[in-house]
Amino acid sequence: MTAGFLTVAEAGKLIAARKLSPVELTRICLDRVNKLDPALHSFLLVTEDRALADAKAAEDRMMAGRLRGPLDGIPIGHKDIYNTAGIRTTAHSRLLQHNVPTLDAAVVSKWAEAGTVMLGKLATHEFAIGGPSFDLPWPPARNPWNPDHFTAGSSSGTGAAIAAGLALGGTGSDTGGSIRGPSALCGLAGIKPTYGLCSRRGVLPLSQTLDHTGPMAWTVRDCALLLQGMAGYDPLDPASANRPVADFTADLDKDAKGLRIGVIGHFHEVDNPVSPATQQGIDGALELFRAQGAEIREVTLSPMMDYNAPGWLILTAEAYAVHEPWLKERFNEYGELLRDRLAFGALLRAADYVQAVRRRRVLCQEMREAMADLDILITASAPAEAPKINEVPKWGMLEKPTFTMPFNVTGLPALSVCTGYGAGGLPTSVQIVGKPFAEVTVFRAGHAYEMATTWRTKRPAMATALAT
Amino acid sequence: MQQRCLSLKRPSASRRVTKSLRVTSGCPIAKARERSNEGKQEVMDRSTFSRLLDQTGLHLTEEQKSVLFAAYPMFQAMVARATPPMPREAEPSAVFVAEMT
Repeated sequence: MTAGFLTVAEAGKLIAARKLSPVELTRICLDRVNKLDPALHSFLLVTEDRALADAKAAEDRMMAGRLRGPLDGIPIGHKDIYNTAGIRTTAHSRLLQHNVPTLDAAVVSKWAEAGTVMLGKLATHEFAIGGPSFDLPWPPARNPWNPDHFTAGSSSGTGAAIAAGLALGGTGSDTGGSIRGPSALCGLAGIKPTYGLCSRRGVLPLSQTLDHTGPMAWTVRDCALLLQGMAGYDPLDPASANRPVADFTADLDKDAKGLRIGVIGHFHEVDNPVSPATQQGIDGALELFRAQGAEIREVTLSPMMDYNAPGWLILTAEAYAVHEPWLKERFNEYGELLRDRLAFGALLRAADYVQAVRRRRVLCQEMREAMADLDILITASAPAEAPKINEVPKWGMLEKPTFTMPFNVTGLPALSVCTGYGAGGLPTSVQIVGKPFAEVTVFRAGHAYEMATTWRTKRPAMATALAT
Repeated sequence: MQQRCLSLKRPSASRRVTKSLRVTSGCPIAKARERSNEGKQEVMDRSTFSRLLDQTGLHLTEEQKSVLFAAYPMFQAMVARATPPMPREAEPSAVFVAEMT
């Protein structure tokens, strides 16, 4: 391997051909962590010994011709709300500063069985909601495209580490946008799969009816490969869907010809108008799809805030229920952002929660009807390029609707894809949404876009400077 | 606590609706919600809000209460938007599964 950047797919092919040593690849990633992470803060814990042991085991399998598949020998990181047996799992919180689980999360086990190399535990917003916070035991992750800027969250460390090439892939979790937000602001691909596709067992909960686990990576193809390694029925997760898992790479070589695409223009033009560069990226993607033979038409749904309001109400109520004992006894041990955001949960009435989940059913029905004769929906992933990290509003989610929450409320698969670089060279993005369990189609559209554009050839300057 | 706003008696179904409307109308949260639903956006006064928080069992400083008080109207607006009138027969999005183990 040269000092350049490899995707999961590229590295997997080289390892399969015995042209790349997993140990060498892992050492390069660890070296990048040592050099860049003091500025990025993407790792809460680097598990160097474990990584090198995993890599050596993968290399032995490679030499013996017993590789386990395309993820064998691939260096990854886990968001620090995923339990890792014998390895500290903190949720980026003072309350779990010394927490060492005894069991791996289901997804951690699955990726380990697939042969991945665990580099360490990645920064998050506290318990996946309180951030970016400066009053926690660890600082918040920084955006490698410009460390003065926000990564978005809550899978903030995963976003920063992959964009800078410290890891080839990683786990995220998404309750209101925590995979797609950092993927958008850090210039990655990241998918929130259909609710129930991937197990949540062993992942610290935020809001059980909205929580999703999923992968983040540099490319759409990498997301498909990583999702293949984590999807599947888990009888110990009550929300897990007992159904066959698709081949997520099956349609990657098809372009957008014949796809029926609905554009929810009012989401990003009226309900929360996006930046000019973001709009340009969306328009460019639609033009590209049209040129490839997709059929495109406008779709009108309820205002985006109508989806966000029940989403945030449900999230606040469920998260408060999870945290209530500690909030009552150890309120000030939480960071300010988490405790203030969740304290409102104490003021919600039971009837409010039930009304919100009744409303949720109506919204799911609306979305289902809107998609009846469509394959995918398109809107923004984020309103604009990353803001400065010290200018992120505490109550942003109450002030303006997010583009991601509607698909947590409805449980639909949703992928963020980079559409270029706007103000200050910071990434822009588009969101591609599919029908339930139609990740194959979502990946098809995202990959078709990536293949027809050149955005994947550019990495953050701080990372390329190190590589040359 | 919110339960204090509700009657513990078990009147007939029709009377229960009337009764709950009447007793909840004395509850600060319900009152604020009613105002919000009417679009008047009246804001609960600081001392009532403080009493409400005290009833939750959370131990907050006055400064922490002030921070929440400032954001509470936005939160109320969100709750009002999330809970529009629904048909009586509207089902929640998740239902109990009897064979669940």
